[in-house]
Amino acid sequence: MKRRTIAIFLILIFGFNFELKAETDKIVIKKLKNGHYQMLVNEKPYVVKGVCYAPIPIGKSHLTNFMCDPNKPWVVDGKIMQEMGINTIRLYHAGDEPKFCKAMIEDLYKLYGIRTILGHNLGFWDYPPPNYGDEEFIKEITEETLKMIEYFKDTQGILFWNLGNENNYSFDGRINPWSTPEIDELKSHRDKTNARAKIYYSFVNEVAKKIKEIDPNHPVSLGNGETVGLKIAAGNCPDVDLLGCIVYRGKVFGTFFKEVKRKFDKPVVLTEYGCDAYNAVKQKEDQRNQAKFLRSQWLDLEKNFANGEGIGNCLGGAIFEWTDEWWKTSESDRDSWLVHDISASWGMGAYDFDAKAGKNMNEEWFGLLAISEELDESGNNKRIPRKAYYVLRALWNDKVAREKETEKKKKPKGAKVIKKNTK
Amino acid sequence: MKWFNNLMFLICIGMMFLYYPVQINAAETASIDNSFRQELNTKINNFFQEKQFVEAIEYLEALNAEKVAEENADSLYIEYYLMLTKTTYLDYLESEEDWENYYNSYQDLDIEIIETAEYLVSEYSVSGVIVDVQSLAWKAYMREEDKEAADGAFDALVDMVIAYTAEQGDIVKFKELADLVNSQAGYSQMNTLFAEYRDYLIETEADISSVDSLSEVARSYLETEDIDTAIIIYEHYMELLAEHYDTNESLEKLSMIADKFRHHGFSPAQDADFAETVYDYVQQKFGLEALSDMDMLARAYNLELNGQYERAFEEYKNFVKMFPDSQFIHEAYTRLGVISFYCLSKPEQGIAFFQKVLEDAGNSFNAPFCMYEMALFYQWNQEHDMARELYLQLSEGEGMFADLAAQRLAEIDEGDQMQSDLTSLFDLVLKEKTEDSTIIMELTAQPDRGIVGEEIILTGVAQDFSAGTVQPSFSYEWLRDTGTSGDPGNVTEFKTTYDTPGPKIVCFSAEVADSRAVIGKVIWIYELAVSMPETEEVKTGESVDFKAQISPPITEEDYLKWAWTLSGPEEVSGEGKEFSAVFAESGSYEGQLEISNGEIKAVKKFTFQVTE
Repeated sequence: MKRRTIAIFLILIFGFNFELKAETDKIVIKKLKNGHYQMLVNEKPYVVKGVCYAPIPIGKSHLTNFMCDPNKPWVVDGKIMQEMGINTIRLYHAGDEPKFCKAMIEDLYKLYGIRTILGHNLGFWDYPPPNYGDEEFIKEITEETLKMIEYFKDTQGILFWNLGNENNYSFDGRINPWSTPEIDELKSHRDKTNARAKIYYSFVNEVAKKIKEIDPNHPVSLGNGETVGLKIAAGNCPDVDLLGCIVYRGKVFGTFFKEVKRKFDKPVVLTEYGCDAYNAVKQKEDQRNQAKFLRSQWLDLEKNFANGEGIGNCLGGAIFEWTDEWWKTSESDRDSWLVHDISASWGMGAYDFDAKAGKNMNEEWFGLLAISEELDESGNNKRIPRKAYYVLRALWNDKVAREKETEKKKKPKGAKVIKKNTK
Repeated sequence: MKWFNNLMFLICIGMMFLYYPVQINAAETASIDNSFRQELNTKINNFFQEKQFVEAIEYLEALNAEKVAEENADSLYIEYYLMLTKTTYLDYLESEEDWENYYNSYQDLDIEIIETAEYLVSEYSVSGVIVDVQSLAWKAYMREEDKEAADGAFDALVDMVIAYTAEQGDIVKFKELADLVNSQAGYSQMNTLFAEYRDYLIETEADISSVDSLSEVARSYLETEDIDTAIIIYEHYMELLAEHYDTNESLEKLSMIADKFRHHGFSPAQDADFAETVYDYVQQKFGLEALSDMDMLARAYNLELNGQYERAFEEYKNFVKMFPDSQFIHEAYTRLGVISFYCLSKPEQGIAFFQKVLEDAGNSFNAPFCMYEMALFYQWNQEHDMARELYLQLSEGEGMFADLAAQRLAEIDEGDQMQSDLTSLFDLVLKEKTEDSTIIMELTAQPDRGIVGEEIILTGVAQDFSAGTVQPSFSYEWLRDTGTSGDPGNVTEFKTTYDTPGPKIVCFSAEVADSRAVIGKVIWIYELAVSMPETEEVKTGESVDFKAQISPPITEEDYLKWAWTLSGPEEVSGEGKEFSAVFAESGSYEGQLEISNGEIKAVKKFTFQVTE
């Protein structure tokens, strides 16, 4: 009786422990014999079919921590994502209350099998503005980042870490300018730019190395805007596992993958790519062109996967973005958060359907899903999938594609036609 | 003989029964076909109006089964309507953005459409219906994104429609197909369609009316503001002109085409690049000398407003060389000077052109402006003696430049710095650049040609192409002639008016960190005046001539409408730059001249007396 009791007690203890401590995923990036790259999750190939996720409700701004939202938008969104075939979301940061972020990440993984790329912007958009040449600042940001890693490293659903976003646009001194006395003494603008790049990428490399000491199970990515600065990154940031690039080049990515291979020679996930759904020339919503561009972009990414006909260094991408964000045009004007603003803050001629407008990138219209002021049953803004959602669903969701194929094979109904001339 | 008569009678009776029933059957068949198709068309339209597409499909399928059972030729039309209904249903779902139903339906329906089309096209000769059937099949292949099949279907469709058009002798079906292709946003297909038609017209040595029908089609798209499609068609039409018209007629038509697309200065150009394509085509095919003086000037102006300053410079130079006696010669020299200064950063060159205006026509409207620009440069360049000489000449005159010259003279004489915004502007545009800027600038004025007192909207755009999605925050500044609004400050757009006529230099500057970029343009302001006989000469019963005058002379007069309204003891109205009226009643009159380019641009009021 006593032995049985002890045995039951021990079983309960260890069984309980098994419940608490789930097995950590093993995520690696493998270089194949042909020089191509592939991500493996628990030894199975994994292509990132992702979206950037920031479901800010109408009337709120980016300062809203949606992860604390009692309406749990991710529960609604996760289902729609799963139907589409999305397997990854990108989060730009963990928010002010990491426990809510953790809960959200775990919900998405457990309910829908969706993994998360979790980022840290390395102080770029914080106040005071960054100075990567300042030791105190570097120390503070490093500690903050490592604290985040420590907290989340065992969270089920984490795919990889992404360090920085478009911090490299600060190198030329125009955006969030920062400097050091040594840089100030340099004569040419180019030398100053390069010096800042070297400092920044060296810092990112140090952080990456420290992350790996804490967490060997998840890759670390260097977040970068386009390929700006990559040559310097190659010499100063060798310890990251991959590149997380933000790229907007129109319908296809041109020489991007070749450039990455030449300049940096590591695999890449496009941490932002996409097309807005507003036609700045016709001044109206344009779902057709958004769907056309996104489809073309995905097929171009696919071409550059491992064993494809392209460069073989693409691991996938996260579409910018899941839902429209109504605050983006004027983040300091509360009234504007209630309006679906149609102004464009920058232009990209490669988005040729409205390039004539000059500035044609309408930041509030990049969602795969539009949102409505009408609320759904969960209390969230109603989600309205755009055409692009369905187009990509046909490409990404194997189950839906298989069903369609089966339907296609069914013989159509047809009537006999009499052979007669028309006249 | 009686038996013979009876036999003949019976034969005749028999022939009546043989002949008459055929006639009846033919008549009945004809009336059944036409009335059936009309009824079917009406029925289907009703279904469409009610958006009852599923019901329409069910109805047609039942009808088809019934007609097949009767072995009736109308089954072709039923099959066509079935295809049309399925296509229209999918179009409807797409227009309603009912993606769930669209993506659940389209593949099945497309298979049905394609298979039906393949059968019908193989069985029937080309007719209007068969062309429509093939169109629907092409559309289905496009929806399926089966590019190879779609291209094949399209090629077949083009052959069919050209054959049908040739047979019918009208372009109606061709235009229907063009509209369909246009709706599919198929730019390359549109190009193919019209290229094939053009080749067909050349091979068959088609008459002028067939060629001109292309121009009509192009114009119809232009009127609906479908500029890209209109351009495609005009490009092919241009290729046909030389084959069908003599040189003068071809040049006239080409000038008219360029005119439709170029900058006029009152409203944005339809497509300035295409206008230049047309002018370039004229030059390549007929030589530069084939361009008239007005076309050459229009071309240069178009390039200038399109921001192609180096090209504009070349064309203004061509103009002054080829048309030295033109009334607009000094405007051309003035523009050459302005472009040299503010767009090409070549001040010495600019000085030479301004000097030409002073030498040839010291009394010309533009002379004070040119003199002032030269003086400004000399003052900025520390050549004070030369600057003073020019300012003194100006200050002896009257008006705006006299006042400005006096201000500048005071600066020189008192040893003061030149007005800061003038200095900044010359520093920005004329000092040697140290490295290429990544800032892209654009400056537009709406309109570029204005009237004294009329509102003009100035808009500047600055973008850093090296910064991607993260654009820096620029500081903006407006320099030189900002009009009555004064300094608008750190804005990208503002409205202003100008109190005096003549060229106005406006510059927009954007600065961020240690980078600054500037862009300038010249706006031309005109003054409206009315001339009429002296009071004692305006009598009842006699014709009175009213004449509108714009100064300086304007090259775009033809694009303005002139509307006169004379109110007093009687109301008289008329149109045209010159207008004559006869008054029956004497007394005081108020006159109003309104000039417009679609919308009212300027109004000039005046009063006069009519005596007995």
